[in-house]
Amino acid sequence: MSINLKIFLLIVVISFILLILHTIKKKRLLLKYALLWFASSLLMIISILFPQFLSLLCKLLGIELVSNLVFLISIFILLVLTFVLTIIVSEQKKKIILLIEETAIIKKELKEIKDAKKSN
Amino acid sequence: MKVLVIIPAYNEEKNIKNVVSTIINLNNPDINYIVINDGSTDKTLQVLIDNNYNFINLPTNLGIGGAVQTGYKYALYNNYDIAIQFDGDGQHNAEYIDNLIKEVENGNDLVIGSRFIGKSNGFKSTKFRRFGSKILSSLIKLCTSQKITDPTSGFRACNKRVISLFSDDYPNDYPEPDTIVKIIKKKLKVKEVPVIMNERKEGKSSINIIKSIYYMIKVCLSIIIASISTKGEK
Repeated sequence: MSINLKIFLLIVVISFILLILHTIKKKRLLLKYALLWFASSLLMIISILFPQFLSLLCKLLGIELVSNLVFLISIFILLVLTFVLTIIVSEQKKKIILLIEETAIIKKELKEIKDAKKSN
Repeated sequence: MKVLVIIPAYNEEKNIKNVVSTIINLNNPDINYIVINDGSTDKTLQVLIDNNYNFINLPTNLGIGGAVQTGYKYALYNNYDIAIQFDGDGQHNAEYIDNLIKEVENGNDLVIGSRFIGKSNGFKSTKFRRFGSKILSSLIKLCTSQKITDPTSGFRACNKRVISLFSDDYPNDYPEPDTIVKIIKKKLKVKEVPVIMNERKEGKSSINIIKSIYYMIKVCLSIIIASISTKGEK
C-alpha cells in the first residue's frame, strides 16, 4: 500500500469517526448504536496501519486476494448492521403499537370524563 | 359476570350499524360492547359518533391484532370477567354469544366458535380457505396434540386470565392460530363450540389468493415458533 493511499484512507476514517462523535453530541444518534460504527472504524484503522495483518488472515483462511477478504469483512459487517437495524425497527414497531393502543383508551376515558362533567 | 364484546372495525361503514344493533338487541344487561375503529378511511368513525355507540378510535391503522388487543386492554382496565371477539363485518351471529359465555363459565379459558363442528349448514367459506384451515388444524394438532377444527375463527370468548395474557402480548397480523397454540401450551383449556357464520354482506374480505399463500407461510411459522418458545413455561 502506498503511503499516499494510507494517508488518504486514514483521513477518510478519522473524518468518519469525527462525524460519529458529532452526531452523538447533537443527540441524533444514541451512544448504544454508535458502538458498532466505532468498532468497524477501529477495524478499518488497524487494516490501514497494519496491512500485513490482513495478508496473514488471508493465508489462514485460504483467500488468495486481500481485496476479497476486505469485501468479505465489509459485507459481514453490513449484514450484522442491517440485522441489528431490523431488530431495532421491530422493537420500535411494538412500542408504537402499545403507545397507540394506550393513548386511544386514555382518549376514550378522557372523553367520558368530559361528557360527565358537561352533564353535571 | 360482566361480559365485553370486542368489535374490531376497519372500513365497515355499511356493516357496523347492523353488527352493533344485534349486540344491543340481545338486551342483556351483563353484556356490554366496545367497537374499536382501526383507523378506518371511510365513514366508520362518523357512523359510530352519530349513533352514539361505545367506541375507541385508533389514530392510525394498527391491523386486526392491535385493534383486538386494544379491546382486551379495555376489558382488563374495566374489570370485565369475559371478553368476546366479534367481527365488525357481520360474519358472526350474536345468538351464539350465550353458548360461548356458558362454556367460559364452565371453566374453559378460551372458547372458539367453530364453523366446522356440529350441524353443517351456513357459510363455510371457500374450498381454498377450508383447505388452508385444514392445514393449520393439522399443524396445531401436531404441535399441541389438541384438535382445533377452526383455528382462524375470529369469534372467540375468554376469561380474565386470558384477557390479561392477551393484553400483555398479542401478535399483530393474523393472530388467531398463533394465540391458540400459546394458550394451549400454557396448559389452559381451549374448547370449540359449533356456530353458523354468514357470508360478508358488504365489502371484500381482506385476504386474496397471493396474500393467502404469504399468510399460510407466516401463520405456519408463527405456530411453530409459538409451540417452541412457550415450551416449559408455566
